[in-house]
Amino acid sequence: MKYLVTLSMFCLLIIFSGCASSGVQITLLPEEGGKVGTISMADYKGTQHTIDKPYAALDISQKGEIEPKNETQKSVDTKYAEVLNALPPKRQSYLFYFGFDSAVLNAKQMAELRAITQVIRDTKIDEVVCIGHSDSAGDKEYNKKLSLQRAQSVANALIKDSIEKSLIKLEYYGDANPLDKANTKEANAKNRRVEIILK
Amino acid sequence: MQHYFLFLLGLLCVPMVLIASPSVAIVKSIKGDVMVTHSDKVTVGLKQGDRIFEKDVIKTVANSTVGVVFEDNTLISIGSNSEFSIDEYLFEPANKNVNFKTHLFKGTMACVTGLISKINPEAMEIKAQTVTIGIRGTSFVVEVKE
Repeated sequence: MKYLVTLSMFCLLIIFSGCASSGVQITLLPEEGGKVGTISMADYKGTQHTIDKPYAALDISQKGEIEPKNETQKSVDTKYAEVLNALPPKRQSYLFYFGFDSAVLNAKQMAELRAITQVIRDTKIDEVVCIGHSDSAGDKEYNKKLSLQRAQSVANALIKDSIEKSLIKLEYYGDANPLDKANTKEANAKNRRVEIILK
Repeated sequence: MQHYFLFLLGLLCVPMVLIASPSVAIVKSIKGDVMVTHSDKVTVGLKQGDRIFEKDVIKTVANSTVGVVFEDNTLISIGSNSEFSIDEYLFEPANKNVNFKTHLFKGTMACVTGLISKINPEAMEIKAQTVTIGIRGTSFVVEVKE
């Protein structure tokens, strides 16, 4: 019996501590290019609430009640200036295209890579990711190897331009991540590539 | 003989590589005092260029913020007086295997989603107090009010 009383007191404590806090607010922000995503959630009754416009917000109480709300650019900038200013800028990425069954960079591409090594030195870059891709022609395993060779060609060029090896990370996806899913000559040419991402 | 030695060395190295879990994010911006507690309960101060791992708990005090870039290019920042954990992070784009679950215990966080949300719009979830929010490829800010 004593145990039961303690248990019920404990439950009450949980309920009361729940009331003390006043919930969660989530606010949608516009993305570059004017795109906006969707946030959708069910309240405690199971009713779905969806927001899909910039600065639309949901206020969610501890009990699970949801109240839609509209912020403005100004109100968000005032309320959340600190956390928004702390967001890192979008990552810079560069694409290098390759010929059929080739992992060789041409002279123009070597010059472009030298320009990138300058960016790596000038802006505090902590990681350089080289991601190799292939088109869908041929065997999947062969394509994986080819995409790795492409990533290595780019990495070697960067290392030759005295970028520290420890900064570079190699990844290769074979034909798993095409830029263009069409099965055409043009699509294949776009898919034979290495993407460099500076972090 | 030399071959045997290399073989033994290889045997030693393989498990070490398997044990060391890869980092999931890099710290890009930092202001004030920001601490991280790793899964082994060791707490250290964060600085730019430091790595963040799955199960890490990040804590900020007054006037301190941190901005990180995840493997999949998701950008997240944490405001002052906040506590945030990375509960699950999986990014294997080649197999389309992705998962991203975080928890904001208190304070504020802002986010610009990356590839994980593109690959699987259902993969990203943020817990804040009692609620779990599903995110479908977007930029947003979450605040836990006290």
